[in-house]
Amino acid sequence: MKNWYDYLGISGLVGLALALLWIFVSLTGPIIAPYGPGEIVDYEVFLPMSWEHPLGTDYLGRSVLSRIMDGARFTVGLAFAAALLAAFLGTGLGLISAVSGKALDESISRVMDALLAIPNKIFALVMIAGFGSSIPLLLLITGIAYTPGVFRIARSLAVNINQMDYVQVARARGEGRLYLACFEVLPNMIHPMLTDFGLRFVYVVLLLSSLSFLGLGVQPPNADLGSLVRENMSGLWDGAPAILAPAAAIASLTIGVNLVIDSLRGRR
Amino acid sequence: MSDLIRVENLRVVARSDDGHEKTIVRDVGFSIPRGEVLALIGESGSGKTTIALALMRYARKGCHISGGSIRLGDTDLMSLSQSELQSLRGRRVSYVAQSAASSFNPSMKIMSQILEATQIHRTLPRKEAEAKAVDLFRALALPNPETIGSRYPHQVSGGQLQRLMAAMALITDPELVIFDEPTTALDVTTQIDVLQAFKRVVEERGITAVYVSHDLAVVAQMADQVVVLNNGEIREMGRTEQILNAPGNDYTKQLLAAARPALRSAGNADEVEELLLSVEGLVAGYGKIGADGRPTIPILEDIDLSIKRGTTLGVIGESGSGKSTLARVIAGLVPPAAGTITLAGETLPGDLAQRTREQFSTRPTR
Amino acid sequence: MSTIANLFLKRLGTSMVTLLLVSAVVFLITNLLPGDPAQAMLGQAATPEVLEALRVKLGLDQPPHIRYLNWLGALLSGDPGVSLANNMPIAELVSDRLPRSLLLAGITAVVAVPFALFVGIMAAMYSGSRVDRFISSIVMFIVAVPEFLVATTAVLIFAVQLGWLSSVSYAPPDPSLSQFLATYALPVMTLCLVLIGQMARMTRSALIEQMQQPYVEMAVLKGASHSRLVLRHALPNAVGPIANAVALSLSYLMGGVVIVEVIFNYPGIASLMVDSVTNRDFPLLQVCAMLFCTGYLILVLMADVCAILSNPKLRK
Repeated sequence: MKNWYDYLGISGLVGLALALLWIFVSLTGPIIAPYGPGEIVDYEVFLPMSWEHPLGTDYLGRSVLSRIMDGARFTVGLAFAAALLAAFLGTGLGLISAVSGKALDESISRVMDALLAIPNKIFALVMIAGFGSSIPLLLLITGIAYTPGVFRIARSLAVNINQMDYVQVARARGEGRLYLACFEVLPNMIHPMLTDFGLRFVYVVLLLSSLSFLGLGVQPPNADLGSLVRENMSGLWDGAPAILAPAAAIASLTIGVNLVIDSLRGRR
Repeated sequence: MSDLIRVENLRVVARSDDGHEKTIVRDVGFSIPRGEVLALIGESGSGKTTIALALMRYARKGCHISGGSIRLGDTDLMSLSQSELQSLRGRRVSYVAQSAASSFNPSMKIMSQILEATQIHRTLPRKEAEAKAVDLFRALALPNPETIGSRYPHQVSGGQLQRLMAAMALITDPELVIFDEPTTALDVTTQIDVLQAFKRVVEERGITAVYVSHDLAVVAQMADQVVVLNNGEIREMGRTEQILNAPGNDYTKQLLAAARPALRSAGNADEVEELLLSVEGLVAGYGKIGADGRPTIPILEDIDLSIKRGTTLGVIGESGSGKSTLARVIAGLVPPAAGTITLAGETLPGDLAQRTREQFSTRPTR
Repeated sequence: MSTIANLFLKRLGTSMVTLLLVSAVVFLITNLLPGDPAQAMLGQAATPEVLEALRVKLGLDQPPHIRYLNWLGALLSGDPGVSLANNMPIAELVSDRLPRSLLLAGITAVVAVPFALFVGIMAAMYSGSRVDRFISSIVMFIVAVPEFLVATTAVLIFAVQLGWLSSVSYAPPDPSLSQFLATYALPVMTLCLVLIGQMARMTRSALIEQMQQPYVEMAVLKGASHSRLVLRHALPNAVGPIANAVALSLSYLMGGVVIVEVIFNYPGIASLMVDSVTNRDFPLLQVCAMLFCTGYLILVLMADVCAILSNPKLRK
């Protein structure tokens, strides 16, 4: 029985620890945070790190640590849900495309290509301008933004598997298209799609944080990690933890997940 | 010492991802006198290629030579530094690989690659090296020896590439040439031509060679000595005539027996009357059916065959001859352009989708 | 040559069709809004007649496909109308801002590409060694974090701590070289870091992939030195994938430049676009989006062309 170390190596374990930390914080943050996210804990703004306020205070005097713990659930939760949406939609469409006739395959692929031709940030900006940036909308927008990418990979995997002998044999047995898609093709795609899911998650985190940083993502009174960086911009000149900590938080999340993915890829 | 190569107690170890070590070559020793050809034979996985590569003190990723001695003339390979090894490879020992197609750099002209060893080791100025290469092309019976060098690898056939690889190996007049199953990847008809070319060149130039193969017929033609390998160990070793005609070891005997195809006992095939499958005038291929009724890429032309119930029909042919296509057409995965397929008296529709479930289950199951 | 020309024309054709589809998508999204733009513009007090007049003026009374065609026509003829937010002709706004963004992108590309190639080749040559692992780790960090983090870190180090550079980029009309450098340094550096990270990584893996091919083993057995393997064998075969990677990374620049222009208050087309989103200035937004998409498609097309050209099977 191989242990964790064999599967992941040191860098992978570090990454896993970071990822698990953030999952934990996003699930329990608001409960275990020392102060409420809106609570003003000190009259001094942009306080440096101290025992009383481990990450200092923000531009209004609120606890940065608590704000981060509260905001993590938006960053992590939204990104996870959006990546899941992209995974389902993309994989589903990819499978349909691969096992269906040429006409359906062509039309779906054309539409996906058109969507892929729009840079993700631009697409998100246009959608936000048109529909707004409430939480459900952000989820939909970021999910749809990455669906074509997932579709492409899923379809190419499915087409390859479709041509394998064991699928041909199943088809010669007389199995229907739905059966083929679900029981012959899909199980053999799961592993690479999982890796892809991890990558999409990271991309969504980056996109979402960037949007919030521009003021177009998560709106007040809610704040995700990107919004935290934005609102504390003026603390940059003092080198206040108020702006550095949320930025570092995002970095540790994305780097952590990247480390896990890289080490899983490498081992295989 | 008239032995060019002397190997003793060679041991090669492979290391897997999780750190486990496995000995893949154990206690191998042999010697080759100058001008002779030694054959390494065995099934796949027996360690033939590993030993052949070890003669240049090269081990593939994950493997390393963990013990033994390898002497080339007066040189002890195990004591050489990395740069001394680099000067030895391609100059005193060269290698002809199994697959020529993947051994050539796809974006370099053939001539540049053939001459590369002369440039690395500075054996000949370019003009003379080119002339020598053309001579070698002639000796290997290659077409258009003057111009073939200016082509790219993908513009030349598999058999020609294999011979070009031999030219690449011979250009520096090495002391030892290692042929690693060079004809295995080729069609049977091409194999014969290539083999003859190698044989001629080896004999004419008195080359000392190691020939790796699993094909005993080839070995019989090429080799003076034979080493029989199994699981990284030597089972038997001796002169070719002795090994082929009077093998001492049981494994050698098995190998020889397997090489001679035995006829399967026909059973009662002749007694059965009932015809199960009948194919008449079958024309099939891939792509759209053209105006002349033939597919864009025709594969099968006017095929007639019949199979009686309970018997097996063997279909053989070289790659590209249409065997798989025939099987696919009968199974209904590829629709025929013309002709009929009859199963148990009923005509089968060409397309799988149109066949009924009963037609599936009446196919003989084994 | 004609095969290559054919392939290129096919790709060009596909790209144009895609661009057309993209324009339809952009138009669709920005016109699917609930509510009445005319009402939004004039407020609650407007009378029905005034509203109707505005609707006619804006062309809102026409069926969607006519509006789309009108819009497309205006776009292609070079006069896409007037910005809602500040009533200036869009063409004027764009022609003012676009060259600045192109300048930024151009400088970044010129600096980043050679650097990235160098780093990538070095990493591949010494792959597995400590140098390579060190480079790969740094590269991985840069690629994994959001651009605003790189930007804020750069500002923190160079503007705040070291006081070398200014963090607002606005160059006076006739800048001296040092003023020019001072203005552009931070935004270019930020973009460069991200770009170099991506390109170096892809260069390295393209080279390493080539190094694992059997023909490289053959060259080893001929006695080739390591540098010969990388430079004479792997590199020429990796040119296609590398050029592909460079073009794709540059296309990624499209997204990164948005953040950088906003942070550094750079008056380019990306910050114009962000403003148009905030102001819900749809005519301007549509034009900016189309510009970005066109630029992106051009780069992707160039990447494809590189991939096609580098295939030796197509050379005569």
